[in-house]
Amino acid sequence: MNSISNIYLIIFLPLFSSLLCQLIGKKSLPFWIALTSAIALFFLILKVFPDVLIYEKIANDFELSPLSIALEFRLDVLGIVFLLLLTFLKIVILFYYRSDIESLLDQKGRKVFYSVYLLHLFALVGIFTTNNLLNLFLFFEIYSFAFFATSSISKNLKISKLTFRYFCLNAASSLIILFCFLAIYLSFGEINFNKIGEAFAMTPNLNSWFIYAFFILLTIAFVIKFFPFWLYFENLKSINLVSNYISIDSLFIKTNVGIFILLKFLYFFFGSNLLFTRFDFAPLLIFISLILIFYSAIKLYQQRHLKSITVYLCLNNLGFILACLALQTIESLQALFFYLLNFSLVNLLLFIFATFLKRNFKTSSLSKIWLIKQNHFLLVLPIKLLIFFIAAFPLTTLFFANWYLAYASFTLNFAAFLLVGLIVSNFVHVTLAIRLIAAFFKRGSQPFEGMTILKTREYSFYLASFWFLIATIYLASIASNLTSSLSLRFATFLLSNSI
Amino acid sequence: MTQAQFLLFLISVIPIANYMILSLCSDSEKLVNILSKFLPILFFLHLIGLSNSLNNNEVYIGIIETVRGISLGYMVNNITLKFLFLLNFIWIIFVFYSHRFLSIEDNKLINQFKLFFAIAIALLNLIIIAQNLLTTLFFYNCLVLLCHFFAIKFLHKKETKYSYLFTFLLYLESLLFFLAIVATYKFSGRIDFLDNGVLPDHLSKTKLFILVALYLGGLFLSMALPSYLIQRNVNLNPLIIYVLFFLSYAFSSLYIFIKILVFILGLDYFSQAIQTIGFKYFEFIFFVNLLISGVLMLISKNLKSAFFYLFFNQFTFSLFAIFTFAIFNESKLYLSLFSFLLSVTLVFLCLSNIILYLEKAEDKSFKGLFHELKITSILLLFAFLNLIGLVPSIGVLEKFFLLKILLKKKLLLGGLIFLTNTTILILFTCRLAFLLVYKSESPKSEADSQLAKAIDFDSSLILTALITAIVIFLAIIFYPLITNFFSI
Repeated sequence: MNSISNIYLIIFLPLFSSLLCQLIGKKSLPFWIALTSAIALFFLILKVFPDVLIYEKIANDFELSPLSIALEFRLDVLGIVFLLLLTFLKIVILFYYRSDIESLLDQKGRKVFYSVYLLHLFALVGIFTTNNLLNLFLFFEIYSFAFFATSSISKNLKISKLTFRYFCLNAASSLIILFCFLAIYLSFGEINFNKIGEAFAMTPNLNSWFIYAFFILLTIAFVIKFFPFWLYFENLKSINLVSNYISIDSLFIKTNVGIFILLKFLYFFFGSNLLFTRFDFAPLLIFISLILIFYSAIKLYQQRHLKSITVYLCLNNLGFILACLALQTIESLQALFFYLLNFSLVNLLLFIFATFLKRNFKTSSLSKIWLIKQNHFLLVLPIKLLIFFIAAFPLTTLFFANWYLAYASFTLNFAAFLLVGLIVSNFVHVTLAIRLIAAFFKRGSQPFEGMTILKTREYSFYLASFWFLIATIYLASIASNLTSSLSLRFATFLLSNSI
Repeated sequence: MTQAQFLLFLISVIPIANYMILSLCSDSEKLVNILSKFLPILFFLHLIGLSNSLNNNEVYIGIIETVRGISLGYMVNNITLKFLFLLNFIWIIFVFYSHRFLSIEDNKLINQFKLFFAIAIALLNLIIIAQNLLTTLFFYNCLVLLCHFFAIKFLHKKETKYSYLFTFLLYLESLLFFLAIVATYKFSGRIDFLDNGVLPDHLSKTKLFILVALYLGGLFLSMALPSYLIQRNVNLNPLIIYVLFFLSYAFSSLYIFIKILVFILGLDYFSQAIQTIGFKYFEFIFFVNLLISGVLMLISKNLKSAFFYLFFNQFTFSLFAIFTFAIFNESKLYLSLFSFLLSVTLVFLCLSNIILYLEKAEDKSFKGLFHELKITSILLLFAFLNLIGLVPSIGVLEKFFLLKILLKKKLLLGGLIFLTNTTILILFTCRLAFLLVYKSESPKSEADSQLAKAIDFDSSLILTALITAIVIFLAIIFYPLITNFFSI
């Protein structure tokens, strides 16, 4: 009972806080409300975490009625892992962009921003906790609108155009999703996710073409909605603060939600049996993942700016995540867990450091890192410490990810090609680490004119977010025993509950 | 924690402390000077303590364990201890030598070089006492990355590309090594170093080939470095070659390789695998590498370049000897590595003396140097005769046992490798001796003669080389002790 009330609190806390932000909008109160809510949410999730691990899922499902739809939830191992991770990311992002948002927006704008931020968080919690297709669709829409609301405050024509384009595509993908959900309801007479999954598995004579079309349509819709990498690429050179915020959202938050949705639909809706045994999608997925891995590795090797380096690192990670999905073993899913950690923590730190460089030094070029080292030793130290993680040194998150993937790939079939992908990708990672080392030890003689002088307050917020992230990354490595156990729990949950 | 474990912990910490002191107290030259000489001696005393409390057992310390079998930890046994003594010997010799060498050379990067050497020693020490493959890989990766980063500070712009190329090869080696570790874990369920290996009894041939290919692939790739540098004039500082190529690469690679052979694959399995694949293929690779590096060594006009190729030439030969001993005669496996390490150390100490003289002297000619640097030249010739196997030394022991196997097993290609190596070394030694002894027409100036005397009679520069030569020589006198020492 205690857990259930805590979960309700987790779901509705961001919504109430969002309203509160609208009501009390004086001075810096909205920020503190947002921060306190996000931190409280994080600790509440931590509190519920052991119970979810023990029981695998905590659900509260009523019969179909308007009230029950509003109050249903199902928090399982998959959902809580993502929930914890994304809440953490949202806190870091909030902290990091605090000074930027304060300098860009007036009091009214800030009130709206933090309110939308919390609404966004509410939608995220909803996506991870709902077990109902209708609610899932509703949360997708709230999530999208919160995103558009944030981008509208940029007052920048280019960003508005870009967002409008994304809005159109997003609307199209929403329509496809709605159409698919309707088709599901008409076919099975259910909107409860698990019941549909069971019904799906119990009907072996379903038309293959129907499932194929269904699968392809949903995949296209989810890729458009949750993996809009082009949005990031087009924003790459912008120094607009909101543009950076949007980039971070589209690169880390949206992608994580996309991975969650993919996992959920793959394992609990279509089922691994259907996709990987009946349709044998594994070679195709491995092939796509190899293309992603090689392409990102080659591009990564050519990049000179941290911002673009981060995006290709993310692509590279995504390639491996796709490969992990295709391999369908305990080890490959453990690898997926570690790639997810690496993607969300290591890449995020690199990205916010890049935006920091871009903001204060007008460039995120590797060759200019010595500038910041010269002036802000403590700010650059986390990145120096991160080099071990980029180079995939033993006991780092990337090392474990590579370890489990290599373990799963040691077979005499097509999957063995992933080992080549691992070698190439690791080599590029090491090259990047070497380039970072060389950049840190480069000594420039000429003073840099474009440098912004940081205020103490700004400095402390940047410092806190960098150190907060690096401390978490190191903690995940030091407590690798715990992380590995968690990854095993995550993997066994997915495989044992798959239909 | 037992006394042995505590001593092992201290042994793992002392070289790191040395590095920390050097980096933190770089302003206080006197303190650094005293401590950098005191710490290797302290290390030696701890080694003696550990050797007494070990009593033919093994001692372990676990640092961190993530999943069952995947951990970081230290381990010391009788064989590890011997390598620790060897490392300690090189450390002491080199500290005394390099300090004097760099001060005479007026090197501005003296502190950086000391740091470079300290970190190499610290990481090598950790590689030697690594309890399992993962720990080895961890410290090997650190060594490769940090050495590259230090090395680029000392190299000229044109030379840094060698360093990049070399780091690339070493990383390729460590990536293959990583895959090999995963494969070992998958096939046997463990990655700890155990007597007679960790592989299960009935491992399929395919799996065994995969393991052997992964473990050897990287090593063979980086062995072929000289062929990548054909027609390039290598002009690296001998001390950099020593620390970067010899200590950080050759020593660590060969040591790890031997440890894998003995404690992971098991010599029986290894022998079986190589003989099934065909030893002749490996012999062919050794022969080609030996020939390329040998020819490049002989045609090099530059002294530094010639010694660079000599190093790779001997590295290849040493690897060939280790292979042969591992397949046909297990008990002499370590002899080859010890011989290689000591011989090359002596060669580089003598070479550094000569280079130091040539850099400082007005007359840069190499001719007739024997008459100026008598002790150094004699020691250098002794080092070469030891490499050929013509003077009573550890080199003779190695060559004798190797030849015995080659004749007994009638290995034709192996014999050809042996003969090629000897011929190349004899040719090079003759050329060197001729140049050293042959007097140039113009006499050396008074200043040059004084400089030569200062170098040749310098206690730090000569005593270190002399002690190395004595150790090489003593090996033949204490032959029964040595064979017992090297037995597995």
